[in-house]
Amino acid sequence: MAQLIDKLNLMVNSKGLQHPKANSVTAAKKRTIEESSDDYPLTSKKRAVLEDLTNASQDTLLKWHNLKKQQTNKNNVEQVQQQNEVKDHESDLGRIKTNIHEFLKCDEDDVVDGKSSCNENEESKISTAHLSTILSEEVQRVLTLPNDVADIDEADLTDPFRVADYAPIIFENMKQREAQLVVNDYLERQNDITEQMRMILIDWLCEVQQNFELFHETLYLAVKIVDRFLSARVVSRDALQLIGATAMLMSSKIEERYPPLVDDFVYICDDAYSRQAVLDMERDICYALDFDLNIPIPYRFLRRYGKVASLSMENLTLARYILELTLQEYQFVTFKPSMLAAGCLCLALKMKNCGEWTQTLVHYSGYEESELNELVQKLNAMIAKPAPENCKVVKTKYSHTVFYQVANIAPLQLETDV
Amino acid sequence: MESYEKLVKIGEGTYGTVYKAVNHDTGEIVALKKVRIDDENEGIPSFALREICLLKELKHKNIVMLYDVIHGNKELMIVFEYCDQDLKRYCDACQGKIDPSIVQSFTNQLLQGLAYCHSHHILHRDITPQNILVTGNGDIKLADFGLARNFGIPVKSFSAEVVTLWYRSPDVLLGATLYDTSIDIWSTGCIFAELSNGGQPLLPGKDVADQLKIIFKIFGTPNEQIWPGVSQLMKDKDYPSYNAMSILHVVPNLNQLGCDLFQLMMVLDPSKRCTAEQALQHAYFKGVSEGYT
Repeated sequence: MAQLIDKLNLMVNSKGLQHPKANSVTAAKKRTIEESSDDYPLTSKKRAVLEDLTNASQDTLLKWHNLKKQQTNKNNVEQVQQQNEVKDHESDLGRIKTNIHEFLKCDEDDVVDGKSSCNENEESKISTAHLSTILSEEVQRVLTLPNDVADIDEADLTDPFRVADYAPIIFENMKQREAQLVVNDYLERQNDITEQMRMILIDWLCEVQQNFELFHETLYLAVKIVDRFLSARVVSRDALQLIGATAMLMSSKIEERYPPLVDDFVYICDDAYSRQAVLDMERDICYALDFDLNIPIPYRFLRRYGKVASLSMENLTLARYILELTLQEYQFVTFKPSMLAAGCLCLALKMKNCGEWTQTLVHYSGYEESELNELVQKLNAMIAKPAPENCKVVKTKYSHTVFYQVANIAPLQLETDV
Repeated sequence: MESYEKLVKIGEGTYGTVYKAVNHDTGEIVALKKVRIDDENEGIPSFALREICLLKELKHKNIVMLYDVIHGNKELMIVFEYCDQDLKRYCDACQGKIDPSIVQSFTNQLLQGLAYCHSHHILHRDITPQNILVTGNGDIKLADFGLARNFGIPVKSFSAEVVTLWYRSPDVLLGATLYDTSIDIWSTGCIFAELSNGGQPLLPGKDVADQLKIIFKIFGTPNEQIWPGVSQLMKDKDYPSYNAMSILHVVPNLNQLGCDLFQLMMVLDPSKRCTAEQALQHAYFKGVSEGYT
């Protein structure tokens, strides 16, 4: 296997990503990022991730070298064009720049501030404890707060964007739904794909998410779609990248305001698959998943639990880093999203020694610390081991100052007797 | 695969044509929505994909049932439960007079469907009489989730090009891209008034500027006191300063409790607008009946 991965590295080539219908915008975007040293460095790479896994022969090597040569020439021409186009897109620049940090900004005022509760409620708000019409008995039971649990949504009642009234019910409903959509241990039934192949695929999807500047939710949903598809169908390794790219296309359609185009995905797969192959795969995935694509993701649970723990942005980023690494680790596919999120938060709290697993956390997450211990150990082992040579996207990303360099924080000293 | 025979065209949805059809295997009458997929396009359109996967999750008596999806090469057929008519046609047939108990029941059912969506982190974003179905029993079903989407907490910035003009909330009209469940409540408030006024649309604006003018004329031009942050949304545009009209002139047929609820739903500041769940707890709905019974 190690040999295959080495060969895969040779398949990596650098080439700027293009958005066929918005070339100039993409170009401008790239420039902004490259020029500003403080910005997060988006490496633009396209890869045929799993192409020729089995036969990376001389032929392919040659093809790769030739391609690289052509691209270098093409890139030079493109750069000149880009520079000319940049001027016309100053307004776009501003918008795009904001987008890059949207996820950080949006959280900054959410987690760090304490000022949101300044306005006392003017309208009389009706307590959510009486939500009789739409709630099952179970949800109602869970929503009643015990005495030692703080009401973390109370302060947000005046802020519509936190949807405080609905937050407790929404997360209870999400937990009920995740229980119905558990991913099983599917690799047992697959005979052509391995954990490592899946890891390379997911690492590539993380890179695609960055390059296309997609929401993190889009990435997490794509991985869920891949896993649920692989639980439903036996596939060959040749199709793996196609499945990943198509899953990302579909999750983009669901999550993004401006999803990338089919051609973009064909392009980043280095034309390993045709346009029609992507469209056919979309249909296969729809049928295999019975169109049930709005799947709960751990990212949203983590956001919630981070709020419960009043986590600083830096510590939330650490938990997010751990969570993002779990995406590529097959051992975590069978875990419920809410539990994974709780485990990552719990480990982050321990690593930074910045809080206990309080009764409030137990209440909102539904997990006792004792239930999480085994998972936390596994997560700690995961971040402690060095990243494989060809799967460094997540570690590199979170080593940057924009992400507080959280990937450099030391893991816990593993207790030998656990 | 089940075979469906189209009987008659019912109308055009946000996307695709809708037919009344019969399922030959079961004899059941269904609604078929046909969405074209061309070779040159992007596969399943995102609004169709969203509608399908959101309705897969939403199972509620006041939300239209999704039965099946058939992905042909050139078209996508989405099979829904069939309802006799939409609320627009229902109102038209009422010729200006709708019984108060019907107004109460329909609004209540609409809010129940909406509260269910919101508690499943889904915004409808296009509540209009055309997208609300009425069955022969007087059951209300929320339909056409073509503009719907899921939302996280806290919400992200979404498209401002949502909701049919007459039912669009003032914050979205002013260009806010950060909005939440409150935008569906505004639309529902408009429909509540429309029903009580015998099917007369409450705010029939011609364009965005006109729509805002009509809203401000009725509810008063907002300022920083009643809606903190609004001056930023209104930027340097000059809006005439109106005082709010008496609510009795706006919804003359509603009783006092109805007027009170209506006002809670139509608060200009989205953060102070009531939620669907709060509306359902309102005394106006005491003793409400389901359907026509």
